[in-house]
Amino acid sequence: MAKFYSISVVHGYAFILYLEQKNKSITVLDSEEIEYEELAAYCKNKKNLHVSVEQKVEFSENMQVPVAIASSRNVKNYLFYKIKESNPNMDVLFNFKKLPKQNDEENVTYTIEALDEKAYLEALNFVDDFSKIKSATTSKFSLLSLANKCIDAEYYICVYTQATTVLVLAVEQRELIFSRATTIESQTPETMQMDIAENITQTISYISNQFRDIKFQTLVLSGSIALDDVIAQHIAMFNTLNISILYPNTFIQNINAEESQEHILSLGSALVEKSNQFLPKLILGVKQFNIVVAVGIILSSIILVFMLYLTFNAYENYSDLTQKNQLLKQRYLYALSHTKMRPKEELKKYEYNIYMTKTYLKESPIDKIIELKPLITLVKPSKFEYKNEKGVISLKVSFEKKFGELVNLYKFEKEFDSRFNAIKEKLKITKKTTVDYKQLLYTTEITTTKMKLANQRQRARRQ
Amino acid sequence: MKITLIAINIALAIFLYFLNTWYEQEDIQIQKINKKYVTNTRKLKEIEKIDKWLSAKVKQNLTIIPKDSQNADLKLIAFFDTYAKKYTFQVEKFIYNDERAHFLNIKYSLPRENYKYLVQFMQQKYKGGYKILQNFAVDKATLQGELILVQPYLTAKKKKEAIVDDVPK
Repeated sequence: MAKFYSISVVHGYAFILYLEQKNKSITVLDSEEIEYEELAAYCKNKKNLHVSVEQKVEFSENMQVPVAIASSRNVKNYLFYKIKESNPNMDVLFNFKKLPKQNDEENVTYTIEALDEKAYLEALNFVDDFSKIKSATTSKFSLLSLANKCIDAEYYICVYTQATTVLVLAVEQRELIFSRATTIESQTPETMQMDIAENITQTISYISNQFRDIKFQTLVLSGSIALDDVIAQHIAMFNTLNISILYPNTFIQNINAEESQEHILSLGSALVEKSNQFLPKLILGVKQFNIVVAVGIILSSIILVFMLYLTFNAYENYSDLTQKNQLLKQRYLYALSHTKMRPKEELKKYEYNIYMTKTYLKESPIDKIIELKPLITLVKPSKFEYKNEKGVISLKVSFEKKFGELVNLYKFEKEFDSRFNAIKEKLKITKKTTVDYKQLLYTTEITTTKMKLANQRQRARRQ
Repeated sequence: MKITLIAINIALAIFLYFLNTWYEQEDIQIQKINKKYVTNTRKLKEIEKIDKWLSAKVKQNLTIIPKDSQNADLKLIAFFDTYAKKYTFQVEKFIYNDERAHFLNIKYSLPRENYKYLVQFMQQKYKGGYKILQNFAVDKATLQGELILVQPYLTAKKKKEAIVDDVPK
């Protein structure tokens, strides 16, 4: 799960927590308290930093924005213009929220929380690479975030002290309506406690006077004051508010009560909401740049992987084709070496011989005699005529046989017809039969006329 | 560092793109060559088949063509004179020619009863040319008809022509 560092800088000291978030619970893995000068070296190799710093120039104000200005960007530009009017020499960084109660129909009231951007960036200078910063805010918003998480009351005052630093917040419905940060300078260490108590009591009185319509229910003590009974008793004497201690141990594991009070602001830094964060354009720019770079890496990696895939496929195809090419080349060379190449003159002789054979030896009476063999073996022809006149082949064969018994004539006739039918399609022959049943004499004449079509076609092609 | 990584990725991707294109172009070239190999191998096999056929069927029948026209005529006459008495030859049409051969038409007549004699006549070859039985008639007593002697001889014009394409497949 996510591990991160939560750092708060208070009065020259840095309170550092190394935390791990699992679902909704946070576990403290390590805690440290170092001097501000050592912080830069400490943060060098650390990532995921949640930071809160003190700011001297920090102010909140309610501002009217005409109803006509509706979009958030235009409201922000309008407010920026107004703040710049009153603070022309300051680079202002601010957050704004619409107040829940609106009295004017023509204007919308916004509360702005602003600070000097230059001073704020200087305070964050201990971070060598701003892209490591996950969230950044000021001490009062760290305290507000933690208090809102721990306190159920709708109206309360929260006090935080650390050494000589006193931070007082007035909260209405989880929104900050007043804050004051003071550094107490006592004449002697013995009077310090009383000075702090007095400062807090005065601030509470001021808040009560300023916000008479709000009935604060609880006074929440945190930081060193939560561990100091003397100051707490003193404050209780002068206030009618219920006093309670900010006690985050319920949802933050592995930290004791005393330690938690020392790291109140660090714990708050880890919980601060986005609307209460102050991220200068420089940090946002670095973050956006990092996002663009990350997207660039992902996209370029995807393109690279895709190109690798395509190239691998192309290489496989190429490799297959090359192998096939080698195989075909071998086959070709084998065929080439095993094929006898005859000279053109020799081929001409062959061609001439083939032509002559095809032209003059195509038809022969011997072929016809062989084809008529089934009939000739049955009865010798009495007459055989073969003519080849200008490419037209004509054939006339006569058979004659005399029988002693009718049954033999009958059987012969059947056999002759059967053999004739078997070859007549192939030879394209017809027969004319005469049977003299008185003399028992069988006479038949077979004729055929066939054009030398193939030969003629060949001649036509040559012309 | 990250920018370098992106630059390397893009450079590699561009390199791979060109490599891919090169492979595709090579593939087309190799496919063309392979096609040629296949076609040529097939042609060679066909040539081999034809060559075998020529050796088996044609080579033995190759004729020696006479040196001149007169020699061609004399060969025909020599055959006629040799067998004139034996097969009762008569000149039907004296020597004539076309572009490829000289011809002599001969009438023949022989008795039918001697079977061996008949077979001998049928099997009689004209060396250096062809004997064509143009007409063939058998009746009860005789075998008679007409044959043509073909003596291959190319005219000067025909000799110049190379007709290799006509070799049958």
